Amino acid sequence: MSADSYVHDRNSVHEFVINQIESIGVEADSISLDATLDTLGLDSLDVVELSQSVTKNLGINVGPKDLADAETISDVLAVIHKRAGFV
Amino acid sequence: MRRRVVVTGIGAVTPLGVGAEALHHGAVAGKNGVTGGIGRCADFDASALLSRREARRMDRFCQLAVVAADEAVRQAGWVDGPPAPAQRVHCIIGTAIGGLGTLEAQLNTFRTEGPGSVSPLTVPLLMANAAPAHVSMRFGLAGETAALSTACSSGAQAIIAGARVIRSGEADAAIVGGAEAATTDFTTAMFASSGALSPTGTSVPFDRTRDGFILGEGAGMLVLEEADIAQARGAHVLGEILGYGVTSDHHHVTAPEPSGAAAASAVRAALADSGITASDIAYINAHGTGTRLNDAAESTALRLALGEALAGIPISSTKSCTGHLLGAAGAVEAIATLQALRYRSAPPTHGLSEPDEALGPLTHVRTALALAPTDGGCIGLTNSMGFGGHNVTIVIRGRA
Repeated sequence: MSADSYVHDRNSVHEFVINQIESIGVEADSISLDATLDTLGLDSLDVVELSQSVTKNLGINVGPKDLADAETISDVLAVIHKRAGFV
Repeated sequence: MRRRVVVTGIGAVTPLGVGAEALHHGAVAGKNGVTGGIGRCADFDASALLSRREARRMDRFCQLAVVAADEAVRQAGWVDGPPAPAQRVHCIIGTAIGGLGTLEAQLNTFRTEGPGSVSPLTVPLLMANAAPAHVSMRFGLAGETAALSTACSSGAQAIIAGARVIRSGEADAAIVGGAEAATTDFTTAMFASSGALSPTGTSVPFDRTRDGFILGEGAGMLVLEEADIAQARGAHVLGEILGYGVTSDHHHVTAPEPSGAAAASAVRAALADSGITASDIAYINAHGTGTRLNDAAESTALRLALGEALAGIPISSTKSCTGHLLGAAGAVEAIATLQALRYRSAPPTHGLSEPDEALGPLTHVRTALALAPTDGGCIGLTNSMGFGGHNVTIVIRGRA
């Protein structure tokens, strides 16, 4: 399956990212858009995992460096949306 | 007067079950932890102790180590952290291979999906020192933390490394042991190819029909403390590391040196270091891999070192009911030895039916054997030998 064949929108990306963060082991009820990665206990290794899974599963090419300045979940989603070409 | 090293906690995860009690009681009951030709820790459930996040940041060998360490630390009663300044508490854990399962999985990812898909957790999962790193973080140990790797004697040498620094005064306490989780098909192929693995999938050390060992996984961890510090805090002392001996065959990268001279030197050194003689030994937990070469060289070495006394000392091999735990073996077997001495009950060599007379006169333990009580506690000896020619002997006193 090529990346072009994936169908995704803001909602599906949002849902995917939240699920990924939960699967990393973060408690679901602590995750919100304005929660910072630090507060959630996510470190640089987690961010690399997140970027890999977005690239692999959503076909949106996001590298760890793209997320280097992201502080909150909102920031992460904004980077992914931008990389996906969402307007 | 020399600083003495006592054991205040033990923990084990083995194919006989989770816990140092399961190890002992399973072994003396004649239970066999090996199924399908491999000794797997089927009862092990990492989630009983570790959060999902913690567990996914550890290879299985490291999970086994942390769970065994938790048992040992709880038994030691380190409720508010270590009983000495954190910098004076060391952590040395042996492993022969490290995170092999992680290495195999990520190499597969690398080959099928490319370098960009290799997990960022690969290095912290597979590195041999992951176990001591996680144990030090979990229990607040700030002294020297290291992995020790001498193949199948790693766990035993890690115990000695901890005992040595407590004796020397560099440390007041240490968490030591060994961990291994290398029972993959690839590991099996490696050891089968080297000729050490039993082609029949049975492990019967000392038997006339023995044809090699079986792979097993597990971890054994001990809390060691300087005796006065343990006594001052009112710790329940399980036993004492009386002494040790370590030598090298300087002979061959896999085969033991057949005269047993270097291995005998390790046993003699351990007796001298402990201030005991052969007649003081109530039980021997042999390295006993069940290969033709090991059992012959080991019994020769024991005879050289202990003389005629050897024939009267009960001897058995834990590997007969767990498989060979590689880098964890020496630590798990030190715990099995200590448990045998504490309970004054020597576990049998599982499955031994035709003792090999070519090994000379030995008192094999075929069913659990009661050890006579002695003043101050029974003394036992455990051997470990590793590919590379490592000979390691530890002398332990058990407190009832």
